Amino acid sequence: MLEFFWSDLTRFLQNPAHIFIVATSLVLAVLVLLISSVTLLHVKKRAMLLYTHVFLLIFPIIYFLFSVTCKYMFTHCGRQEFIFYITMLSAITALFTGIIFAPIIFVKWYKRQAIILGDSANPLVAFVRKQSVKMGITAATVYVIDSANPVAFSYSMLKSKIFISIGMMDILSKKEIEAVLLHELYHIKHKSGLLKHASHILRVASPIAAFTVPAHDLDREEMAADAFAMHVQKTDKHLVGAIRKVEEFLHAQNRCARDETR
Amino acid sequence: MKAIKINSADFESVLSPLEADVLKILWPNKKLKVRDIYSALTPNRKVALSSIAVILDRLYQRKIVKRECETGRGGMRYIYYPVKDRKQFEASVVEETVNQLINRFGHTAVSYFNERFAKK
Repeated sequence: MLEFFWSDLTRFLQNPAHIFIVATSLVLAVLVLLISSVTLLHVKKRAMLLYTHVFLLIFPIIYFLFSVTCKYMFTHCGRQEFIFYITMLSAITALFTGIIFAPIIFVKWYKRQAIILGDSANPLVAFVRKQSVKMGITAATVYVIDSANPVAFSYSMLKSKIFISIGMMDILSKKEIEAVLLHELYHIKHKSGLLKHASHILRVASPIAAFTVPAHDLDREEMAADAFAMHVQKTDKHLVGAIRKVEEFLHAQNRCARDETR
Repeated sequence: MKAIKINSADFESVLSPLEADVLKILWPNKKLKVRDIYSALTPNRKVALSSIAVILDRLYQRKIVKRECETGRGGMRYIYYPVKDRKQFEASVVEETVNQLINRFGHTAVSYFNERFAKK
């Protein structure tokens, strides 16, 4: 079974032109990865380079599948082989497209369940708008997630959005919530969400990523966002308070889960 | 065999001490936010606001309390209220306990109850 696959692969790799294209793609993938680790680059450019790296890694597979599919299509023989290859090609293309668009799907799913937090009459919305103007970015829409878990995240690919859960608002004071919003606004301004997503894909899709250090880039972005919030509020009290309360919530949750299993 | 402790002041056989204290504040049929319950509890015991939030969410998941969302100046908050009043909750605890005894011990438990209530 699938003997045709191995013979097609062998024939493919015996063609010098194919080897050249595959080798070039892999070399470019490594090069792009090395360039993306240059810290002076803007976050958005680094995220784009990471996406390019993953694409260049997958490209040899797509190229192989595309060329054998065309061969079977144009020679009108090997119907079974043609169906196999077209299915594989469609699956890989769909997977890659799905991974790239995953943040959009993820955010749309959350949006469907979230509630927009009103207009500028709401102090939190007014705060976000005021800070957005100071930062020179379009004001983000604030969405509220119906969950007791204290979560907050932002999204900046098309229209900027900040998601914050009711659980977060239940346990934090007004100033602590503002510290969280400032942290998210920093991520929106610097498009850190894109870098985070690209890094997650990288860890899954690229074996070469084990030799690079994108993880500490994300830590640097988080620390920079924290520093921004503390700078605007001129104190670390509120941000530290917010972090402490969220950690207390998670510890309490783990403790309760452990007690239940006893 | 560990005895089932049903204390008339607490419900520690089915609830943790903190869950029991939270419910006692919500009875009868009060609708309160997490902070309100925290303020009511802190004079008598040392507890974190986050712990109260976790406890209320656990009670909500177990359908012992319900919650609504309220929009206020500071955003949105949960308002929690009990599903049953204290008497109804006690009755449900007793019913659940008796059902568990019968499921576990079958005829032995039924015979015991018959003798017990016949004597009374």
